[in-house]
Amino acid sequence: MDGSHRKKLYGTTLLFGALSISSYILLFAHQEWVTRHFTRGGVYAVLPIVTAFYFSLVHGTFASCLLRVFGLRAAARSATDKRQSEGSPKEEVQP
Amino acid sequence: MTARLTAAFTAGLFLGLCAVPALAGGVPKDVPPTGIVSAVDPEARTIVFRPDGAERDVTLPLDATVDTVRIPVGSRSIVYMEKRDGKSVVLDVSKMFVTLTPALLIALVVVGLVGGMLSGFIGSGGAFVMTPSMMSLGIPGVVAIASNMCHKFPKALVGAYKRYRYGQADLKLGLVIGGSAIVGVQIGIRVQKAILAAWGKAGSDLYLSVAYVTVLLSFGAYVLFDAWRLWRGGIEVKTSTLALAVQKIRIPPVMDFPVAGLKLSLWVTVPVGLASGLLVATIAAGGLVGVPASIYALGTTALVATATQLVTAFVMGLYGAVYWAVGGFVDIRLTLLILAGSLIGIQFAAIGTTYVRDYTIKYTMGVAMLIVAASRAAKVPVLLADLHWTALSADAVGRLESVSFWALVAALSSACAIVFCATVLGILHARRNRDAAPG
Repeated sequence: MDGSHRKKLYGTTLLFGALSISSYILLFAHQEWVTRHFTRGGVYAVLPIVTAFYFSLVHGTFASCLLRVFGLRAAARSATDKRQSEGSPKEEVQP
Repeated sequence: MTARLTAAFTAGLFLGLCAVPALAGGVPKDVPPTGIVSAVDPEARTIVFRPDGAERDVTLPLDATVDTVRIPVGSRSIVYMEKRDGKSVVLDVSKMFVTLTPALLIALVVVGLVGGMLSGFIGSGGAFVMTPSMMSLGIPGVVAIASNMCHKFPKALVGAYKRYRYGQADLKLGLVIGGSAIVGVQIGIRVQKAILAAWGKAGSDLYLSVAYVTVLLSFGAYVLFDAWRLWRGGIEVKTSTLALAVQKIRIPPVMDFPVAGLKLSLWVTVPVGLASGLLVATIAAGGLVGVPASIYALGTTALVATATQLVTAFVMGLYGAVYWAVGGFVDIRLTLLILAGSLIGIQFAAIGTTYVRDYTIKYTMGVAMLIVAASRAAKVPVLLADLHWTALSADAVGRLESVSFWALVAALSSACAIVFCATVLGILHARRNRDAAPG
């Protein structure tokens, strides 16, 4: 990874890390209000669903970047490549 | 681009349709009443309780086993009751939304991390790990199930997206299986209700344990045997005879599943979805049967099966989350704490799958399934004793409960250790190869 890519990765990690932590702090600082309104049921069901989506986006992006900062990356081969290297089940079907 | 938009639109429409029955169904039924206990009378052994949505208080008698000092007064609570001679008797009162201590907070993040690692690697393992763990941390069962369900779909979404990008998840196959899995969940719920009505709680628990042990032992032993065969015989992956026969069925509509590299009749995917859904409703672990069924009955690789299961888990998770959220049972704080750990765990494990062979995934799955089966098997004599079909001393019950708990801990620890070691060793091996490569 070259310098500019690394810089961009660190920047994204910091941005989403800060966003994730501040979102958690904001929610837990008002946990009583949140719990009261998020558990009213009915149409209020949209609140926990949307919040879970939001956190999966923000915290998920942060977690992904963090793993890349630690050098954890997927191997550069797809399932199709693996299938070819390991013997394809489809090949077994061919007459 | 148009194909992607069409796929996204189809997925959105499908998910919307999944959510409609849940919303239309209203508040979940067959769950204990919730409300506020305003007063406790230790002398008369009664409580004054106002159920949610009611305008009047009701006075309810307490069972002899209820400790009046521990009843939460003024907080929203879940009241567990039983009908005796036509009257409701309170068996237990639990505070619905627990107070979060630093220890509980850390424990929930760790539970999420473990569940996420298992889900990312073997496509399953979240719910059957997390719900019992959350309950043992003092969270009421119904809130643990609801909050876990609400965390399941975003976690599965992130995992499925990651593995789709790695070329492993077949979105179409996952959505098709997810559709029939929802039907399977409904069948599972009805079967359980029928058993509960016929044999009571002990009978229902026994049914769940026997289902657990039978499914996990049979599938677990076969998956482990297959992993051993692959490891011993090199790296050749063969399609099972059953899958070859299933792939020849051409009852319309026949669908093309490009990532799985298969052309299958829609109807052959239905039993896989039904079985997954049935297991989700029964033991909260659809992937434990959905993944082996995809491998051995449809003919996908273990890599594609585990990745595609995450798509199915997303569909079922969203359906379940809407269902429980409509009833107001989701504690979003718990959901987000387990999500904090599981989003890291699932992505770490997803990376791990790109470094390991098919047999490593099968081996991990087989080990986890067999130890979980042993954990549940230890509980069967206790449940038989509850039904008065056999006699057990209190000491023996305690020991069996302890064996069951520690077997579950062993299953989780060993599966996580395998995932972690396989990933780290795979990365190190790849780096060594890259460094050693000429040029």
